[in-house]
Amino acid sequence: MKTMVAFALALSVLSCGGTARTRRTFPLVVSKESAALVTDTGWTVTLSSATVSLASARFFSGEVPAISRRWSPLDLLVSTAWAHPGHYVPGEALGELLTPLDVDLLGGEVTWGTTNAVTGPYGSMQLTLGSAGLRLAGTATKDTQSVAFDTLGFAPPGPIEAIAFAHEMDTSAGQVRLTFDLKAIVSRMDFAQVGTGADPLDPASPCFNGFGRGVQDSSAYHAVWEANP
Amino acid sequence: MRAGHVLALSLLLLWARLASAHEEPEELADAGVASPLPRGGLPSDAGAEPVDVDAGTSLGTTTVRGARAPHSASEVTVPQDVVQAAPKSGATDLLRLVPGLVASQHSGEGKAQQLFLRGFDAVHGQDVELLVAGLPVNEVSHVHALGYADVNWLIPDAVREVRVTEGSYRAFQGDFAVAGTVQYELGLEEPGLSAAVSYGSFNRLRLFAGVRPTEAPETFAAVEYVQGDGFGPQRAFGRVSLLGQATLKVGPARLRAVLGSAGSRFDSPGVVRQDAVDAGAGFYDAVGLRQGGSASRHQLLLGLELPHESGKTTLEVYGVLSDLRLKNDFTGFLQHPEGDGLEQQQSSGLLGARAYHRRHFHPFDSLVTLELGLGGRRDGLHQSQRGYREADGSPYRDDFSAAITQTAVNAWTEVAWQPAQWRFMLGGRLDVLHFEVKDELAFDGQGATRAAFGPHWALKAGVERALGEAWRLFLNYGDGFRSPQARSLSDGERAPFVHVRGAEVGASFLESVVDVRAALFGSHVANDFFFDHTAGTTVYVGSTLRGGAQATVSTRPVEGLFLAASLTGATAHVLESDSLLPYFAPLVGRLDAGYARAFPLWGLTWTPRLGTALTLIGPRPLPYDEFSRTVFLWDVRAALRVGRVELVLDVQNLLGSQWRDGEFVFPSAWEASAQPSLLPARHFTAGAPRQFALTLEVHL
Repeated sequence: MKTMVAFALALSVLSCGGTARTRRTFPLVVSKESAALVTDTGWTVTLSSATVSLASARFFSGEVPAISRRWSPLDLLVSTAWAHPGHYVPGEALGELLTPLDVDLLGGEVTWGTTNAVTGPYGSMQLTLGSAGLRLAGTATKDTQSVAFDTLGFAPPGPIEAIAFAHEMDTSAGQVRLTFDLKAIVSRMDFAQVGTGADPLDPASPCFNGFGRGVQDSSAYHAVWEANP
Repeated sequence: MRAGHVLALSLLLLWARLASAHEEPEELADAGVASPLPRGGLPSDAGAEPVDVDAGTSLGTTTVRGARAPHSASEVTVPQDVVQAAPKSGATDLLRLVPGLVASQHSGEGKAQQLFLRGFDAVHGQDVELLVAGLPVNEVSHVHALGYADVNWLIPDAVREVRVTEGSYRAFQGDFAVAGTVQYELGLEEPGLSAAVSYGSFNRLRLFAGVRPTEAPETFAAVEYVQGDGFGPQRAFGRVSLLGQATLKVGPARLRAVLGSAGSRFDSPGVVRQDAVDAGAGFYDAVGLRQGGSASRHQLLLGLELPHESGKTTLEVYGVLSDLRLKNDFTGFLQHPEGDGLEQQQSSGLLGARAYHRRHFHPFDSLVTLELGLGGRRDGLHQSQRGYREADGSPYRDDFSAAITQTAVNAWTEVAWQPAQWRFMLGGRLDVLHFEVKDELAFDGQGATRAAFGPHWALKAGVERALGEAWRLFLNYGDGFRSPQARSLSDGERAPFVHVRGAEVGASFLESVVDVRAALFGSHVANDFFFDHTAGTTVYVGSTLRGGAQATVSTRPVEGLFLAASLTGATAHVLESDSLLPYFAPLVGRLDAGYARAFPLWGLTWTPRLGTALTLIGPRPLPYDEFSRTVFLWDVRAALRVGRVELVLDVQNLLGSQWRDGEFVFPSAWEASAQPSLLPARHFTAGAPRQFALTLEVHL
């Protein structure tokens, strides 16, 4: 009773307003893009299996550094020297989903789980893969060549940082969709250089190295907010 | 307070009140407009001499001091019998006597309390100016928190009164007087030799001895030794404190000396995650088992008071040496796999001097009072911070190490004109701060120096109006300031101050048995920030506005009985986002009550004494629209004195509430996990459970 009285008195003193931020949850849905998979070296990839072991997803306030400016004729006269693209600073942790999940990316969209979060300005996301990592298997064809491959699992040693997710998160209903751009992931793979073999793919081969770079490419993952209709 | 003394005191107060209507002694000049006497004592710099009144009983002598009327509705004096009525186990209990003030201890019995007052989260003192017998307590540019104010060395028995000046409306209020100023005046209640031994819950042992000569009521020496295991793991502590004051009249002059030495060692339980407790951890558990610290303080003040025909002049010099070593870890392994623990060290040496002059004039049958103050202090300090490994406590990372010299010079004045029932006050204050910083780790350890300088101007104003004998109305305005952390300044920078504009309208009703005050207050901070010391970061929030209301009531309805109560409501908003600032205390209530009555029996004087204190702290806003839990505490003291021997039973937290002294929201990771949560989580420090203490006192 005394708690209720004190709470009522305190609220009457406060009269209005909160502390600007509040806790919330939202679902995180995982899917893949359906674009045709063609590598930079012209291989067309047909997947028979695409699985990923998800360990955690975290959302941060820090935005992903990006150079987005229109080309200007003045650049021909005075060019800009970009010494480096800037440093990604995660900033404040705003959301996280720490429940591991294995996902079949060819099986359609999957709800990974519920993200514990707080409201605020979101800038980026970090994705950590489980030890089984991302595994792709299928056939790569080019002209008359056909290569059956299986990457086995590959997981980067650390989280995949700086996945762009610019969104002013409030309490409105919705979900985050994380899309795996498999075309971007396989784009560096040259199936002409598979080392000792493609099935399983030689982990010392340039093809596997291209796969690993694709997995670690943060632009291969797209995170967007989808408001509930 | 014995019955005979109460009667004698009442008669003296009545006499003084009648006398003040016909005479114009120095005190009347300072007493404001047609003021009846309030309940409290007199500031040491207000000129009145304490008067010993022999009450004519075997109970001894009571010191009665003249009184000075307040110049705002929130100037309150808590007298000694109120201070001593309820159990006082340490500094936290002494701080809770201040109306509206919440004192929280989140790092063991030895670190400065976190303070909340008038919508301000003063952290460890950045918004509350604390003084003890004229000695400044707040430490500038402290390594742990701005204005770090540790009063754990203060012996409760030696507190004669607590003078509270909330707001920043008076010119004497200096650095850190943003939400208000609290002045503890010293003195033992009873002349002669006093000795006490206490033993209570959790092996808490306290030894006390004090001596006060009858002929010099403000002179005393006291020593206190306290040790205990604490009410849970990592809460053991021990401290010793010596405190003394001597006054001596040499002709018309009065000399005063204050000295003290204290040392403490304490463990700290840290802050516990709420979700860990929900999962089965103990409410009184500890984390970060290397937390704790030690502190020492040595101080000396020498004062000379020269009364003259129309006022007085006071000169004081003082020095304070203090050291602190603190090990904190609020986040576990969140940022560093070795552990996030921080070891902070600071050694400070303060030298200061001040002069105070007051004079009265009588132009056109009115009264004009001029007050002038000059002061200066030099703080020389060395501070460092480094990270330590949780596994073995060894250091592995140096964050900073700096030598700082901070010089402050101030001048202030108040001119008050009192025509008839009015009193108009206009004042101003100039503070100039100078900083020299040597960053010892800069340039790969070669070091770098920088200096900054800056003035702060403040306006003070007040209008008072007496309505009849008892009622007075107040309107006050005042600028306050908080000095910056020296390490945050760059070379040649004009030192920025946090500037506060405050205003208050209030009323008081003072009558011989009752004193009622009420005030509406507000303050605006242009560029506010708060230091999140759990994360070690400063959060800048822009303009903030605080406001609220406060009411205090004290009464002595019957002989031997007093009641003193206060209720404060406050709010604090960030203007740009129209959101609440986190952590401040929106509702604080306090009730102190005591009863004592002496009677003769079997040839001895028997004096039973009862005292109680109720503390209510309403839910405090936390980040993410959460609120802390309500705190309600009930402390009780029962004592019986027979002749020269007294037995005292103290019970703190009588209801046995399982309460949270501090609640915080921030990320932490105490469990070794591949995927620790980085989201802010609720943490708390457990408040003390029900505690008993039995004290045997002897007065010789």
